[in-house]
Amino acid sequence: MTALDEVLKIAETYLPTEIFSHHDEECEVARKYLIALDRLLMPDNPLEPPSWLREKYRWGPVQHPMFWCQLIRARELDCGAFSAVVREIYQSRGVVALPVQAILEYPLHVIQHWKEMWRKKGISINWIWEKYVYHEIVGVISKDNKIKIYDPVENVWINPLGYVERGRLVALRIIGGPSRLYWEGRHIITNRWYFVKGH
Amino acid sequence: MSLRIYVSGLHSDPNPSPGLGVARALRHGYPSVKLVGVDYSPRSSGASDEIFDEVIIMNSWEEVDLETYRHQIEQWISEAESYWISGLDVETWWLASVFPNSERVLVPPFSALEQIKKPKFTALKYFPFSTPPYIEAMKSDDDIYEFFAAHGYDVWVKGPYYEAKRVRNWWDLKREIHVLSEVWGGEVYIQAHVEGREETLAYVAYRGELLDAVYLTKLITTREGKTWGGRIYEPPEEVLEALRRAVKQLGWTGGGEMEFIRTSESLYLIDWNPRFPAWIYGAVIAGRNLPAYLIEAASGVPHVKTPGIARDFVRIIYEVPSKFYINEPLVIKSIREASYKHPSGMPALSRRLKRTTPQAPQILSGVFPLDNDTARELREKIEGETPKYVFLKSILENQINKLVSTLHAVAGEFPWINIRAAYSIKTNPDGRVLEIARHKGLMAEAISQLEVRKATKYGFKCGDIILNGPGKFWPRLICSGFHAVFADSLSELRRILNRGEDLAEVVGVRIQHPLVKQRFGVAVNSFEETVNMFTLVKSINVKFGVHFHIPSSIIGVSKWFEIYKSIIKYIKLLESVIGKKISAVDIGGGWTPKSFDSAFLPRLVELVSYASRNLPSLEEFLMEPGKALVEPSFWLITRVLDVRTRSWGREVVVDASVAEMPSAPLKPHPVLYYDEDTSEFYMLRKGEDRILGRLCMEDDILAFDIKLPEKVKEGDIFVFLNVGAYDMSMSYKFGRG
Repeated sequence: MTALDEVLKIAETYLPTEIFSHHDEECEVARKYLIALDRLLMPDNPLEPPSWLREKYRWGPVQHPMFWCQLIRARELDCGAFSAVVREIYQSRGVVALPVQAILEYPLHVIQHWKEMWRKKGISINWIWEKYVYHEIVGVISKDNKIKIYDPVENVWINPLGYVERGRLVALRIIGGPSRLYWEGRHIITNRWYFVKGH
Repeated sequence: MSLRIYVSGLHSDPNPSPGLGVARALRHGYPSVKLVGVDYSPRSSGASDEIFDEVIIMNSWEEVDLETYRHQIEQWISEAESYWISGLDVETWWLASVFPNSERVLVPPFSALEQIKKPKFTALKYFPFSTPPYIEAMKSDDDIYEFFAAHGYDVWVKGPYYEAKRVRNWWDLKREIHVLSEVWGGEVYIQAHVEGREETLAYVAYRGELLDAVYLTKLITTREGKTWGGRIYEPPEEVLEALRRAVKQLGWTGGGEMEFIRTSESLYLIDWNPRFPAWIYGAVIAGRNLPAYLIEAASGVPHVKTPGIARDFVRIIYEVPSKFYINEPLVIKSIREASYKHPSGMPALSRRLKRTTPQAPQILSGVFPLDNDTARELREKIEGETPKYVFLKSILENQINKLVSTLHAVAGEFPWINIRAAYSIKTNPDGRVLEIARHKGLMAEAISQLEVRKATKYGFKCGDIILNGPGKFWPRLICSGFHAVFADSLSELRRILNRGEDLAEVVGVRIQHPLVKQRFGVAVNSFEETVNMFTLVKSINVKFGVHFHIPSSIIGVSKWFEIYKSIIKYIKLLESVIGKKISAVDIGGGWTPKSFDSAFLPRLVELVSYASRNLPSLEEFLMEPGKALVEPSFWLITRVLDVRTRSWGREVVVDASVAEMPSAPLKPHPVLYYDEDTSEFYMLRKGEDRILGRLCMEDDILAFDIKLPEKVKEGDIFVFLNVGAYDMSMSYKFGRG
């Protein structure tokens, strides 16, 4: 059985997913297209997540590195790609959004299906360690260094008690930003693992 | 001494009554309590639950003799430590009226119930939130329609105590008003649909003192929107404080439930029930036993307190042996339109209680005010063959004058922007209308070359015409130098570009908004279409414009303004992506006359200002009103062919039909009656009568829920107002040989 410590050590070596640009017109238009679409669909409150994105894309395996010109034609995105696009959209709205890495725990019978999805696409499964999975989500900063954490795959705000459907959130790490943030009454030191209640 | 508690309302289906939940909560708090379930049908399936020590299945509410029942209840609760908790709204009202100040019947005072009565909820004055806009069904059809259109044809028809139906078209709206009025006995109202998250507050109070309250967010809902899984929270402090104040002022006793919709900006109250909610046992799971608090306060007997097990709960379904015989259902060919099923029979009680309310007498309203010219013209046209449309020039001129003076006023504030309106020819291509529109300085909007020909016949130059729609060059192009042409698709944009630069001063595209289903325009939701649009637009060598047309009557007035802003923001970004200046914006039309006057024109300056701030290169701001200008300026005169007396009211058959008024099923038309004796016109009020068209078509009903004059007879004249838009332009020849 893989210990949580080992999982965290491996996850620490991961950089948050980025969507790359070929620095040509095609990538630039693709990026701006998504931002323009957000202008049509954006709620009045710029802090509200771009929940429409989850309707546009299914969740599934993608090959990285991914470029904007590929992303725009993709049917599905993985959590890293979703999170990267969401951060880009928040940034265009003038809202600070940070990458958040998370470790979640799921029953093995659930994880088996995810492994199959990735295996069938021939994409390496470097985000699952037995019952633990690596996940990327987004921290949305509002005034007074308050943070809300959005999961673009589940299309929900993350519950600070660590409840997620089918599994539980074990730990998360906010990358970048001020050294200290406040998540629904909890102090979080950025760039370090924060263990949710009970861990 | 043992507690004996009567709990009513035992129906248990996906839209359950709260009795079973209340009983389970009481068993939890008082393990040895004697629980007596009360309902009015063995079909209320919760009556078969083992939790009840006894069950009383009363007669249906149609049969119950209210005075006898009052005595029975009085006798039952007279035994020591007996209490009654009602789970049925209408029963609660009745109990409050016949057991005022009872220590045993734990319901709010009647005066409190009156203050939480829908739709006004006068007790809302204690709270920091409001209700969504509503209109009572007794208002005129014209007012109801305007409300319906203003809220995007998306409203709820609600009964006075219970029941709500979401409707999206006029026919369904009228039907649901009729059905709910029949089911509940009246006092139906219509409320705007508000998109948001559903939340609920459950509370319990005794003699004006708040004992406890919990807040619920629905996690799973049934198709009807009822809770199937929830999460219990502490109520927000500001709500709790207000609730404490309200409960005190109302002298509340018993359970209560307030239902809310939370949007990103506001909290709206949509319902306030004088009883515990059906999910009340979910609060017990979270450690909050509200029914037990009530019994403890009333009896002084402390309840067993248990800690919460979980904050979240879900519902499940399982089978139990039925304790009661239920008749096998026969296949019934129902002849009743009103068919909502309520095993507990609450509607019957509601209707019985309403019968005591005197109905307002239905009479003709006063003489309908007409200016001399209009009255003379109408009287002249009454003679001769009917049905016939009458053009009321002064009304059209008045409508256009309002528009033109607003355009001038707004143009004064933005002298660098050409703010123009183009009359939508398709709405009504009558030459007299086109002549007046041109004379008043409007441009024309055409969707075909036949319309262009008609416009030029009445004095419009091609440079005063905007071309729109998918068939704008059909059957063949008759001139060039149009003011603007907006492509309906990318393939059409290619053809437009091939026609050369002298086709129009402005060339643009119509865009689809992803939130509104439309067949017209470029689907900006598609990356491929958008990128192709970018490429094509780069080769436009004249002024470039963007057009959208989303009728406010389809999406609602407030939503229209939101969508307008989102499109301007989108266009702003478009400008930077394609590196081309946006010179013109065309916002289309689709306003009803009332919303045009009350919402659009007063906010035009705000619309232009918003576009100007975001699009610095904007030179033209265009709009295409049609219905708003012309609809009220034509009326339809019709003659009575037959008068019929039915059991529920009267009907007249007239010589007009849906062929002359095709929008009759889609919107109401006010109706005037011409009184030969006084030579005056009277507006018909609401009632239970109908006006039928002459055609052999079931749907040929021109007006329903109106009150016909007592003296109406064959040959009498009615006048339908506001037929000047699509009624005229889409009329057809069916049944004329």
